[in-house]
Amino acid sequence: MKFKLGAQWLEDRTSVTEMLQRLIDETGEQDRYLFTVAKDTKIFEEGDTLNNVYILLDGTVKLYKKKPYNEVDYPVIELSSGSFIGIIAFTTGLESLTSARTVEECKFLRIPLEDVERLTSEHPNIARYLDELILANLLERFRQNIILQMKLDSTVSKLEEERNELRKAYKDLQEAQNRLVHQEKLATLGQLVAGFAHEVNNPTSAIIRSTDTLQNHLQRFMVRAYEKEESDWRSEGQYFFDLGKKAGFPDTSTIRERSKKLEKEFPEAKKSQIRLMAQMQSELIEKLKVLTKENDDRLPYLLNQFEFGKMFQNIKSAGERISGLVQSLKSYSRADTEDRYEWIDIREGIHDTLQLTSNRIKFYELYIDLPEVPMIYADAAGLNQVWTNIILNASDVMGKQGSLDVRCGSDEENVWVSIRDSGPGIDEEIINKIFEPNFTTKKTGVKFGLGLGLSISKEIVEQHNGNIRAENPEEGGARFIVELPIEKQDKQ
Amino acid sequence: MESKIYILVVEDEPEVLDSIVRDITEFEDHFNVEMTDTAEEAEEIIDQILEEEEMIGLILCDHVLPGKNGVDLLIEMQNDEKTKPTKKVLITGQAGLEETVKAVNEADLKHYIAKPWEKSDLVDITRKLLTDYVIEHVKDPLPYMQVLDAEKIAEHLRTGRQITDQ
Repeated sequence: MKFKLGAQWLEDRTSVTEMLQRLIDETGEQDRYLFTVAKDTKIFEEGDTLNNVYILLDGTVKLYKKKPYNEVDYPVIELSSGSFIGIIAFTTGLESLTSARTVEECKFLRIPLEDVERLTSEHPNIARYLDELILANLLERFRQNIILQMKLDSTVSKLEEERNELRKAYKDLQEAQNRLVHQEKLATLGQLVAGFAHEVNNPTSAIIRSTDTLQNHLQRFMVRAYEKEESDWRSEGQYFFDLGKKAGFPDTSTIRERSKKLEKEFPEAKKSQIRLMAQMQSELIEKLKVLTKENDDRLPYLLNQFEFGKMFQNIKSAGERISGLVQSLKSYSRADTEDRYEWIDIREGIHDTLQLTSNRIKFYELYIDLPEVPMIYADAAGLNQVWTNIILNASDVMGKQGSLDVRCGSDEENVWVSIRDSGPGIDEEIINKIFEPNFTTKKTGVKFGLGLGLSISKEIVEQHNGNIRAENPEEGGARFIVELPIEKQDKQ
Repeated sequence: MESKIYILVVEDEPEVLDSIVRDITEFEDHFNVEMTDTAEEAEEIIDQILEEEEMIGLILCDHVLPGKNGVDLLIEMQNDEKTKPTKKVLITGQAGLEETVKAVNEADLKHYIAKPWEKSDLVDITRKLLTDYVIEHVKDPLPYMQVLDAEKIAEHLRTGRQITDQ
């Protein structure tokens, strides 16, 4: 067969069908083949074997395919005039893949298969136009197929996009939830602390007040008990008492050393007395030697005075420590503020944190350089946790020895805080991971008990639109730097 | 005189260390009390005591210490044949179940004292454990009757080995 070159007829199947129709008109058999079908009429059914060829002259036909799982007809393609309907079934001779139904009133050429054979052999022009029509239709279907593939691809990528959005939304939701839980924790801590502070302050004041009174009574009592002795050395008791209050605590190895020496100087003294003397200032030891030279009965009296002084001092400083801790705990958790965000001087929080972690950091050389910095609008309790985390991590790494360098400063945009330890630094392999949730190098549980980590710290800092980073400075150890914007940020 | 028996007290807060030692003063005539404020220093002292072929009867150890913690120290002592017989007591202000269980299981912890403690409790426990130690490890526990659980020692002497007393 011969085809006209060019593609214009692909776009113009109507004129091909018109040519075909004219040729059939010329045979004089047109009335046998021309049909008009009403709207919504089924032409053939999926699975039918087709006995006719359908050429749509005018109108629209939709092809449907049954969905495999629910037998519902699904529209596959819409065909307009110039279309060869049932083309696959006609060319292959197989059952129809689709059902065909008119969308509006349609005009067809319906030619029974046996007539096609006859018409094409009698009228070669009919054969030619029929071939052209079939090819044009196949090419059109192919084009549709390509368009469909493109549509499918864009739908798939759109779906993928939506899925990513969902994933992100889910992650955001999770983070928001973590943040809420964390805030809830802090709020609970605040309430607990407020109650706790009240309850602890009362008994503490009672202890401190009673001790003051007791001290006065005891002094008078001691004087009266030794009234019969000569007054010149008795008054020394007061001196021992006062120096007892100032004695402090030498470390245990110093005590051990001094004890060995004192055992030789005071061979008669009991071990408990030696231990007490080992805590005395050297001037007091000299005095003790002089006073007990002629009468070593005086030793217990003087040592008692010294120990009384020490004990009163212990009670006093313990009481002060309790009040101090309660005060720090209160301001640390902001037990008395309603709104978490307020204008704060970050240095106060750092001081509170150092006080509350003193149990852990008292062994270190501390370099604290906190010059005045601009106030920032921030969540003080949250930031305190950031300092606490960094400091306790440093303490975990350094153990008993080391140094801690805490400083702050500001530039035009930010206030910064830097905390450096003298530990081994952070492995380069993990330095990028330490802010991830659940990352830990610790073997056992969190010692401080709040269950917070660097990931929470990062989140807190980011809530302030600030940033936190870790580095291994040249001078050794690990350094954490937190930067917080000075300008008031919109709360997240 | 047999070699000396030591009581080792490990506590990092000087005030607390002072109080513990003061509370067990009554044992000082018969036992040497050594104080340290870290586990590391405790290890040095343990080595010194063992070098002089003397004994450590009891260790009263704080839990939270700078550096190595008390539980780890006790476990190490338990794993060393020379310090295994030492009676081990944990004194702690933080009653963490996990660590305590570890101490009981791995360090043969004999007793657990929560801060703040009562003097009488501390003294009773010290007396009981030292009595056990003396009965188990001292050939002649007689001199200790005065300060330890006399009845228990007497019972031991009666039912236990024959004493070759001059």
